[in-house]
Amino acid sequence: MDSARGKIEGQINSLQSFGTLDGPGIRYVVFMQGCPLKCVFCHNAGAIDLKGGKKVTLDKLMEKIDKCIPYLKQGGITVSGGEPTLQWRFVKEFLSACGQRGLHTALDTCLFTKKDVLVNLIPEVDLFLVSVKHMDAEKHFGLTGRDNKLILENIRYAASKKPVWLRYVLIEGITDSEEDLLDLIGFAKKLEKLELIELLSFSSMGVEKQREFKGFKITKTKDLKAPSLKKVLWAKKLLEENGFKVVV
Amino acid sequence: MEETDFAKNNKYAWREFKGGAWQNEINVQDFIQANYFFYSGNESFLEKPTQRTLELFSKKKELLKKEAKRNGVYDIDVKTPSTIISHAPGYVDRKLELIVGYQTDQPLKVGIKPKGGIKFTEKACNAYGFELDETVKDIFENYSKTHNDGVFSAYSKDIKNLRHNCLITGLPDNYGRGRIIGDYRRVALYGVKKLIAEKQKDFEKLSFSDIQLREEVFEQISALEELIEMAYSYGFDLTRPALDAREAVQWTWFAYLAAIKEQDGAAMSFGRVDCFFDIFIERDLKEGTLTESRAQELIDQLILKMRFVRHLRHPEYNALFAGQPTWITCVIGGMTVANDVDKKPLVTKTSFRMLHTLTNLEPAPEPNLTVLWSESLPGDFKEYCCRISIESSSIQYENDDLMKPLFGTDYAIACCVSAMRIGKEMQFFGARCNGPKLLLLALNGGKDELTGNQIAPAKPVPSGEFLDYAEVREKYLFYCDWLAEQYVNAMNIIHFMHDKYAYESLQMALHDTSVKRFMAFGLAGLSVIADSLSAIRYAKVKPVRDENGIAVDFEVQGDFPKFGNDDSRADDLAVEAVNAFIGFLKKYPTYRNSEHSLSILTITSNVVYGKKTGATPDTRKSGEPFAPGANPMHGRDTEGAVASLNSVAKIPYSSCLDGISNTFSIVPAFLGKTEKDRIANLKGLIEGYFAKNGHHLNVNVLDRDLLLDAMKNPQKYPNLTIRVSGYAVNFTRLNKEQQKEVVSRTFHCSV
Repeated sequence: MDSARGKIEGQINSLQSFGTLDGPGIRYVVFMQGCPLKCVFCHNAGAIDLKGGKKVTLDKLMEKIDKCIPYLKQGGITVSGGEPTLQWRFVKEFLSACGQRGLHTALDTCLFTKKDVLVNLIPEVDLFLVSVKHMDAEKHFGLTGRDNKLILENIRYAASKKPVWLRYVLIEGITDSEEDLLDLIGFAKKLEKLELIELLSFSSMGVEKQREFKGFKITKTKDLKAPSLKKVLWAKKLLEENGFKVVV
Repeated sequence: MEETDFAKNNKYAWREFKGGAWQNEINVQDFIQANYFFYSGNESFLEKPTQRTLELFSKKKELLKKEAKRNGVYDIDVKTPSTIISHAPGYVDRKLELIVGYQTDQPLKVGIKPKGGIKFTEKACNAYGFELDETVKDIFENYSKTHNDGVFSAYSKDIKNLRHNCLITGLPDNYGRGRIIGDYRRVALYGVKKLIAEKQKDFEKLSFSDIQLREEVFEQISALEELIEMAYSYGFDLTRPALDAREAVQWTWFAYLAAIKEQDGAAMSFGRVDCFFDIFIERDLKEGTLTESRAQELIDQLILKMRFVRHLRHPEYNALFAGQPTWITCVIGGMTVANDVDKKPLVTKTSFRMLHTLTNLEPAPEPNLTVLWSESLPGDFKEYCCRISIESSSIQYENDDLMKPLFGTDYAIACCVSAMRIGKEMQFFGARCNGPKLLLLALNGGKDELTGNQIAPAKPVPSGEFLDYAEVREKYLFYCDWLAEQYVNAMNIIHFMHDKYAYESLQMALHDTSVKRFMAFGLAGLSVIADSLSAIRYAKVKPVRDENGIAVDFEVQGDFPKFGNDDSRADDLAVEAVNAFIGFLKKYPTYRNSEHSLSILTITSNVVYGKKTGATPDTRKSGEPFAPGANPMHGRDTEGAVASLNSVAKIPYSSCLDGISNTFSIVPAFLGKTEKDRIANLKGLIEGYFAKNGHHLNVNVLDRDLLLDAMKNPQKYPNLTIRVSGYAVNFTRLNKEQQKEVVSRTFHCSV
């Protein structure tokens, strides 16, 4: 790596040398700092503020990765966050360095980003892990504080270029109606390189957040609930009947 | 090759076997290489336990319940010192038992072995409400000296002092040293008559310059004669080789049984039998005299025998080695090493059958099932091991690719992590010293931090308000050297006396007459040493001294790198600590020219050691447990499991030939979303660790909540088995402190 590239710095929330839940196999997961969304089910709220975390140079990060390569043969690396596209210049260099080492690269992103950024990143990414928070624009805004138009467009574009795993969080009474899922199916059917859909059950992570829930009957985070197992299995079946591979 | 008379006489016993060097010399390894059937398939052939096994199992469970009600000891024979032939045959149910033989005339009844030390025998009896027989007491107090008496006749004041102050704990000076593995298979392959004849030949050749060995070989022959007598009392003729699979298992069990009737060593391992038994089983299957179900039955019933092995232990011993482990370690798998091109996995259907006992007979701590893992093992076998690990948390893994260049293709593991060639190498076991306490000695000028006693040479305490790394390091190394000399002296005395007063004649009869010996030293608290030195070097550490100048606490300003995050700043300090210690040990000559070796293994003694150690500069409070074995300290490995494993993998095996133990606990959900993912990821983790030259990995796959519930409601979890440092234990048999320590360990999980 040339010395100038190696010196660039990323603002990193944390590192997990043994990740098994963000992409196939054992993955070294880099959680980037900063996120433009404010999701009610955020499981890494400490990573939202771009000013948090610590600065790490690309050289230092690659030194850590290199020592873990024997474990990553069937897996690879995943960049997560936070939202990695906020620091896309660093992320692009990092993904590229991993790619040069023959490591499989996954980008866990909300894709709330400019298309230019996405176009820049696509060549370095082997797998996109993306999530649809809600298909309904207003409800999406209620759950995340942002509109979903840009996100859905970007997902479609990414899926036309690289394999995609689509994640969907089931929240009782919020995202788990038949209509919600049929909307999701309609969207997912048009995703060219979609490999599978991961259904995640909502987990509050015990964090109470004060916020507005526009468009919903509930008003507090603590009122959000995971759906019953029966509901999850129903959703799984519905998706499978529509030809998707589903992981719960 | 010309056929010897012995081969001719054994034509029937050895029918169908491919001949070779093994026919003309005692050479089980050669027999296995020539005859074993490599199995590359999966577990689909395995059978459930037979009705007979299930009935026996249920009867045995009843006995275990009674034993638990009686404080863990079913009965003690306080009158009859246990020898190979001391007791009449014992049975649970003759009709159901395919493999027979218990240590005394009743299952679970414990024998006494006063040769180790009469005081401790008496104490152990009393602890369980029994009175030692007066005659036995009189004999061993007044007429026959014991190992324990011998050792204390020769110990110096210094050694007694450092023992008393817990700088070295658990030395085998009042109990059997163990860690010797007889080649029990020899009895099945050759019959005892042949083994006696070979020993007699050896005896004739012995010079008069080694009178000790002359006497020992004589004792070995007597022990073999007693083995014949013991088996005869059960109605079997062990003079000849085994004729079929059932006899092969029975003969081998008798050999092991004789060893554990004679000795109650801390760890009495079984060795390596998967390929060996498989050869006999395959022959019977081919001849149509055995079915798969009956083959599994033989293995199941052998495992049930192992689970009923008992030794009399005193309460202090139990504090060190909780849950009454017997370490009947059985290694499984590994590779042949003929050369790189011809190398073949030593995996047979019986390798599967042995692991399958964890399914057929529920998980249990014994035997200590140890998979010798190589990159080249067949994928199906690796996946099967990982699946059973996830289901049972009862398997440990050791790196065959690391050990086979040093120990060949027919080695086994004694205790937890000690490799040795079967029948060719043995070790003098030496427990372990307390590394963090040693560091505190350096900070306190040779005074013990808890008692204030001057137990090591006096030196000025480090100067200045904050500790200076260079100064501390120099003082630490000085005391390391001092301790090494004391430790070697103590070990030389112990093993001289053990040979003299409590010689393992049967186990050594199942070794070559000329053996290689290791002297196995140990170091506890490695991660505390590394983190303490790291704090002194990279942060500011101010000792808080009491009125006597003893550092009773430390104020740490600033952060410092910690062992367990793949950070060389901290990890190198751990590496230097082990290299320095083995280096100092090697300066001092050993009894019988044994080779110095070192283990980083604590068993459960990390709790007791921690309890007896003051606060350390790494912010560990006085009395807090150390991490087990070579593990990073609880909760300090913050970059995930791989980084944690990588730190431990840096400890050089070449400096720690007696093993480097790492205990790994992970929450099932964090291993992957589907069973297939979990198996693949565990496999990837083990493969990665061993590719990085890691030596040993205990794998626990369970939720912390489950353990917390088991602490509250032990009756709900009679079979909850977990891996601790180098062995498995029934969780509910640990004391509360040990349970708490296990629960506080790092469980790798998501945020």
